[in-house]
Amino acid sequence: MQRLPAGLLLALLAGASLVAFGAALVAGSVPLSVRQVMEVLGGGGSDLHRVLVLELRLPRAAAAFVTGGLLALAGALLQVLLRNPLADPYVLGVSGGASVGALLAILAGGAAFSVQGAALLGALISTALVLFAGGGVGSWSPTRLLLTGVVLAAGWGAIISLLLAIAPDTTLRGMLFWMMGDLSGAGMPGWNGGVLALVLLILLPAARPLDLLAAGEQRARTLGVPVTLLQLTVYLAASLLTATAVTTAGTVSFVGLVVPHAVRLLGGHAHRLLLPGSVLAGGALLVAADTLARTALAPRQLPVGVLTAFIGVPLFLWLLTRGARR
Amino acid sequence: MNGLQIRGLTLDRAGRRLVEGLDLHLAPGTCWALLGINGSGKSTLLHALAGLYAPSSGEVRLEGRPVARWPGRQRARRIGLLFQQGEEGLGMRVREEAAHGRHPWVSPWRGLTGEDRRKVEEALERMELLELADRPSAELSGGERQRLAIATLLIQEPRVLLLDEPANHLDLHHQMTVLALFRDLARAGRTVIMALHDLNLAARFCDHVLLLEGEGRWCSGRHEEVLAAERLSRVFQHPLRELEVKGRRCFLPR
Repeated sequence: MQRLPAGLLLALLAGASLVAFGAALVAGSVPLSVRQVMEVLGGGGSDLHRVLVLELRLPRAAAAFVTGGLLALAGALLQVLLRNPLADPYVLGVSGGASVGALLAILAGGAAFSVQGAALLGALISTALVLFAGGGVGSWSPTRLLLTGVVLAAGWGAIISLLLAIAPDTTLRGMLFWMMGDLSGAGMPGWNGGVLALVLLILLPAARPLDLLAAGEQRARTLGVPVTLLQLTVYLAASLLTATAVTTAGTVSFVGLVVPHAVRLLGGHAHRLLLPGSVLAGGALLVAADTLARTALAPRQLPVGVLTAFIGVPLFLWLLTRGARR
Repeated sequence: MNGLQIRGLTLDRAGRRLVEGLDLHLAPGTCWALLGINGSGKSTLLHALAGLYAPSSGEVRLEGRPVARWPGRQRARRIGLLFQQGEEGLGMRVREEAAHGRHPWVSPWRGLTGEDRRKVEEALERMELLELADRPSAELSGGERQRLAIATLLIQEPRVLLLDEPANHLDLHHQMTVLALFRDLARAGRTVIMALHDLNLAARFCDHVLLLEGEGRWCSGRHEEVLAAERLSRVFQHPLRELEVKGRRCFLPR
């Protein structure tokens, strides 16, 4: 399969993001025309249109974009770290820890802020457990890390089932929906967008060492890459990204697995392209998926995680077969 | 002092003593064969020389400083290690993977220069990989992968080359050209040490031999001193006969 030049691919992905944003602003229970949206963005328009676009659709689309970017970047990083294309934020149990934290906070009747704080705490505890149980700095191998994460994720899953079983009926529906991934409550991105930008800026200069790490850990070491430090940084960064995504939108799986693959198939493996490309592609995918989720069966809203799978699975299979036929 | 200075090096692995009190100077311009039976510690020794494996005691010095204390990139400009078994990459292409060899020389803020790229092409051509340069490295055969690993090492341009079974997977033509290349690099002033299983290749291409005899014992010296049928028969636990064919020594299993 022919690769696209890096600049062209990034431009295309940025264009796709803009198109997804446009669709998100236009579509909804009150359909607007492109001209009406442009009027609102230009500072005019009717009050109803202003509320629809500026207070409902734009913040939600922006939150979707940030969540998609967070998950895709986390996936790309974990795939290098484990040198395993099956790695995903969810495989390592980070999101499980976050979910348990959030559910405990909901059960305790916490406010939105404390739910987010508890989720972040749960994700960090999960990270620490994997690092600790995985053998400590310097001696853990990706396989061991992956296994530890998988076992931990299973443990979190059991706790989640327990919490759902004992939860009172009144909170059950909110808890379930939150776990399936839901952007309806998400506001304009603030600190979560900051986390995404910061991690991307910190890791972009390490793009070449990441390339070497992806090609082989031992050889990267002999070529002068500070492998252990880089792996630790990548793991902490991926955990932070995942926790941030989970506290923004709940459990949206699949983005972290499929998006980096798609970018690799289209543009190759260089992380200079893969990291920003994954952010753009993940963002665009989740904006599109969320728009579909709230319009496809309107007024019923679907969990966005279902839609990402519906969009992502066929796309990924198609890319994979094209890659294999080359 | 250039090359590698090994002092009192003792290596243990999984409770077994592999090397005890190794004192050796691997001088520039010499080509060493590292011989020993399976599990005798050849790979572990090479990893310890590269600073990747911590010895139980003793030290390895590079330009007067212990190898483990060199900053990664500085060390990588001086010491290169060819692994016995390559790791599976995530699907990079041959040319990209070879270019990784330039990493210690390339500024973190800039990409490869034209000069870097020329070196990559040169090494790929030398290893007869140019036609495969745009293929994913995972599609290569075992011998082609080995040649890619060697090309990457050549692109790295280290002064000390630690080679763990460089002839692995290679056909006869490539075994000969690759080992001759390493011998010539040694003659041009680099330091070369290669773990080998073929005694005849060792006798043909290496001027010095380090023989790991088991249980920590070792012996070293010029190849005509160390490579003796009686000693080799004892170490490799199979009777060998030494022949001379047109001035070249050969060892045949009886």
